[in-house]
Amino acid sequence: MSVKYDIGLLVELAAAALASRPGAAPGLAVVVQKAHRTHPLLEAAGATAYVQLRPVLHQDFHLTPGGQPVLKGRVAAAGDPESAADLVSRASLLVMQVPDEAAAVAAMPELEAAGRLCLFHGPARAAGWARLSRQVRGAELTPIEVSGARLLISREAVDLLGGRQMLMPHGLPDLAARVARQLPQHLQVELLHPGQGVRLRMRIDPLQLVAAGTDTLAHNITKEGRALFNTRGLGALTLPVDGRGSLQLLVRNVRDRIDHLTVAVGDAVVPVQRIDYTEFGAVLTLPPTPVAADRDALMFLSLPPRAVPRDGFCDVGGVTQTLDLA
Amino acid sequence: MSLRPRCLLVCFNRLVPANQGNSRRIMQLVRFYKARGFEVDLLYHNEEGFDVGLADALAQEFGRVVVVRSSARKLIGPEHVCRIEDWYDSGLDAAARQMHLQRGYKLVHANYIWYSPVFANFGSGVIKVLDTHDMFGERRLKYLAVGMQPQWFSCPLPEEDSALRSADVALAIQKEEAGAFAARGHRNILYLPYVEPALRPFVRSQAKRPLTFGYLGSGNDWNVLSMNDLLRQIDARPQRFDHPIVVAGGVTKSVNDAQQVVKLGFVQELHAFYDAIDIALNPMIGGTGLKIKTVEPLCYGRPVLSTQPGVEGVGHLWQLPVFADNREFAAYMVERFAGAKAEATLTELLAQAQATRERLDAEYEQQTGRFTTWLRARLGQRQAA
Repeated sequence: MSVKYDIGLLVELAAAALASRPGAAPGLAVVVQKAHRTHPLLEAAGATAYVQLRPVLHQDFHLTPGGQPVLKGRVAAAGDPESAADLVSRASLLVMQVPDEAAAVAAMPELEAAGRLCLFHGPARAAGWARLSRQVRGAELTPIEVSGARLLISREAVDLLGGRQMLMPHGLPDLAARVARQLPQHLQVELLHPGQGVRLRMRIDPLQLVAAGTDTLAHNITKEGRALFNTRGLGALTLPVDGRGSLQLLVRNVRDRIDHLTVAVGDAVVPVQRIDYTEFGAVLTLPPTPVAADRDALMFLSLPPRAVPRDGFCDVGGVTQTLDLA
Repeated sequence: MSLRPRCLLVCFNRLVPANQGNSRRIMQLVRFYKARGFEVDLLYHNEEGFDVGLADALAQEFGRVVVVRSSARKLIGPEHVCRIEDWYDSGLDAAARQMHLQRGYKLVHANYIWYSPVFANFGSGVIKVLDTHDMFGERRLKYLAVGMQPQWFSCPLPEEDSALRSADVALAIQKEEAGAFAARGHRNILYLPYVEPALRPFVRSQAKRPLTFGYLGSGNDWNVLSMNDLLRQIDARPQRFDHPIVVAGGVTKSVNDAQQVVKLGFVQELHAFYDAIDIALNPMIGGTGLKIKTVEPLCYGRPVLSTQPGVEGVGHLWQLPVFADNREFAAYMVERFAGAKAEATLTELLAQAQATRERLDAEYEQQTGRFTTWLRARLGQRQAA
């Protein structure tokens, strides 16, 4: 299934291209959003922090160079407005998913668009646009419409990306190719048959995606430096790019076949397309599972009890997300 | 409500439980910063292990903890000359930069001079504090002077000077060390003594037991050499010394057997040791840095008898007896604790210990006050800039 002109993918690529551009001074990228999302390409490009517009329910992790994974800095704006404002004020790149829900709009931190690269995006009719417009009045922002969604991007950011055309549907493959050049270990772009678009392969460290609902699991993940399932074989991953594209997961240390595992996103069960048993573990192929803008992009996996070792943990050893751009 | 300023602490020490002198010194500074409104994060350069217990304890103590595996080479050159560049782990740089970007520190506090290169990851807007813990410039010579093999880190003086210059302020744990740094031209030195809160009053124990002496120390060469020297000197006296001497800590296994020596070994809780003795001994014949064992008994209501090297750093405050060497030390013990004189001597020592403690507290207040004033001024300047 091909991905068309998609706001989630566009923002992921544009933000990653800006954060990883050659010659850029090290800076902090801050993502302001309501739902639980993660931006693996942006995180690969540099230091990234998240401001959440509703309470943070899941713990997830970012990689420390040469060290153990650390809990991602997700600050709940309503509970800790000072820290949220501090992060936003120190951001050199600000990405905001403009919310619609009243409580989330009320939690939006004060911000200043001047002096930093900004990407504001969300449904064109989201209530948060009105508040944002007041905050960024006078800022030089370029509007772009993307299939019912709106993107407001700093003019300087547009220039750094190579012009507005890079953000248009026909520019997306070039934008992806640029990110692939800047972050070759994390993104590969393959040309499909002539006229059939390109295929993006995102190779993501599973530690960037794994989520823990309990302190115990969070501790074990930190200590072991692996994307673990808990002792009962339950695991959770944050889906990149709003669940667009298909996923391949390598599930390691399983002690039995996992044909009957359950995978769910939201209240829907995800049909596993294929499981290959290799010497490295079981490789799951999952279809795209698009997640609505206001929902947490979390995928839950439940392994059959017999597959879970008694003296250790199963873990996700590798994640590849594949998106075909039409 | 405004955001609390953030401080990043960089160290290699297993801070909880703080059962080593350097860990306790570091935790003293952590309490200091917290009391002045800082939120303290930790960049732990994992050289002393990491486990569930430590992870949980650190999570309660610090705002954020990042653990970096050590890949420091720690080369020791010929004649025990070390270089900071060989001891500093450049693997810390990326983690420090990332933490700073995410947390926006106002102050970075590094421990030991070979961690001073971490300051280069922070701009001029961040206050840089270096706790020296000891003088490491030509430290090896102190060992060689008493015929011992140099241990741990020792570097040429210019390397130490360079490390001190890279900080906005370098903390010296002893007044003498602060003076020595200043004599080498450094003007950014602040003497900040190690003092912990008093936990017990200076009163005679009510326990029904003979007057008991005690020595608690790790198993390092200085401690072994010192304690065995004192025991030899006591044994060489013509009069008998009849009081028990309890020896505890890592030094126990290397202390010579003697009739009056009671070997306790490792103790879980410090107060258990100090509650079991009446007078602490510190027979140091040399060594470097602050001898925690000199001031620690004063937290637990116990007087300390010490040699001159043992009170280095606090000698100007010391009101208790100090001995030139262990021969003099042994003579005092045998003479002053014989028969009926013992109780009177203990009463006298308790009063002297109380006076020493009061002087230590007063000096600590004064020096932390200076540090606080300096910090406020620097934070104000940084914010204005």
